[in-house]
Amino acid sequence: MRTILLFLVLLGFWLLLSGQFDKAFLVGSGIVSCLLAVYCCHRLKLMNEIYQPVESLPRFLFYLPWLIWQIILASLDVTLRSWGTASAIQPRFVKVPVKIRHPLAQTLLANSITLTPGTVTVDVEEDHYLVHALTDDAEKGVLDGSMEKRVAVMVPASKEAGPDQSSEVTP
Amino acid sequence: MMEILEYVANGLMLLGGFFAFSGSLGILRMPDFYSRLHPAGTADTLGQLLVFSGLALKIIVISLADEAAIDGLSIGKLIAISLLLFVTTPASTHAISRAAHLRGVEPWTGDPEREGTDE
Repeated sequence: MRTILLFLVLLGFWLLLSGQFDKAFLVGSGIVSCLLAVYCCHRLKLMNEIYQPVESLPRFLFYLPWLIWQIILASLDVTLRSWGTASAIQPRFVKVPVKIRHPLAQTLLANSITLTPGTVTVDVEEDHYLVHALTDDAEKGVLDGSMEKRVAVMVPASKEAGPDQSSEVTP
Repeated sequence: MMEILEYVANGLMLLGGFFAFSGSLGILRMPDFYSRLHPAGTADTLGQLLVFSGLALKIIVISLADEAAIDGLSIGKLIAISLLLFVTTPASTHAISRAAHLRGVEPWTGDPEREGTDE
């Protein structure tokens, strides 16, 4: 299942970049390269739910519009403050408690916080993130935990506290 | 109808350029290292999103004007670049801010007693 999906995604990427569907040699070498890449992924043991979160993909499509909306709101705010005076910003470090332990969910949450202008994830610890917030509002937004809830819903496995999920999976 | 779409495409690109400019301005104006990361984010997220949406719309407009098939490949490539930026930007921002934090760079808080500690 994962193998076929990975192959199709890689092949789609190849065809997108080459843009030539009628030359047998190009399409053929694309298929060979994709097969080779899939084989390498098998050898590297990358065929699991962390590297290929197939189960989370449908929910991720619902999460993405919300995230983009948050990015637009936050960008407008930071842009206004870029033009404003020094009193428009109140930068500080915030410790944000984080309950989710699943590595994929943690990565997604940290990336989402960084993507949203006004907050940057500086450090990821076991039970909290160190976040640099530009303003009071940004601090409140990151502390109220709504983003974490949405990420937790998106990655179903994150609700089950695994045995040692917090340790990084090194390939 | 076509003219309106073309204006919308141009407007999206101009707006994206404005956000990219504001990001650069913010980087110059912000007081310390950590604060400068935030306006850089607006250029990398909203700025690129608007510019790429504008470009994709422009491709559609041009294809329609020439009565040719819509160039889906180019639009696909634009979407791929946009997604790539969405994945790589937070990784690089996190890496650089974490390096500064581990190095012991103090944040500016606007507190006059601690003024200059970030230098």
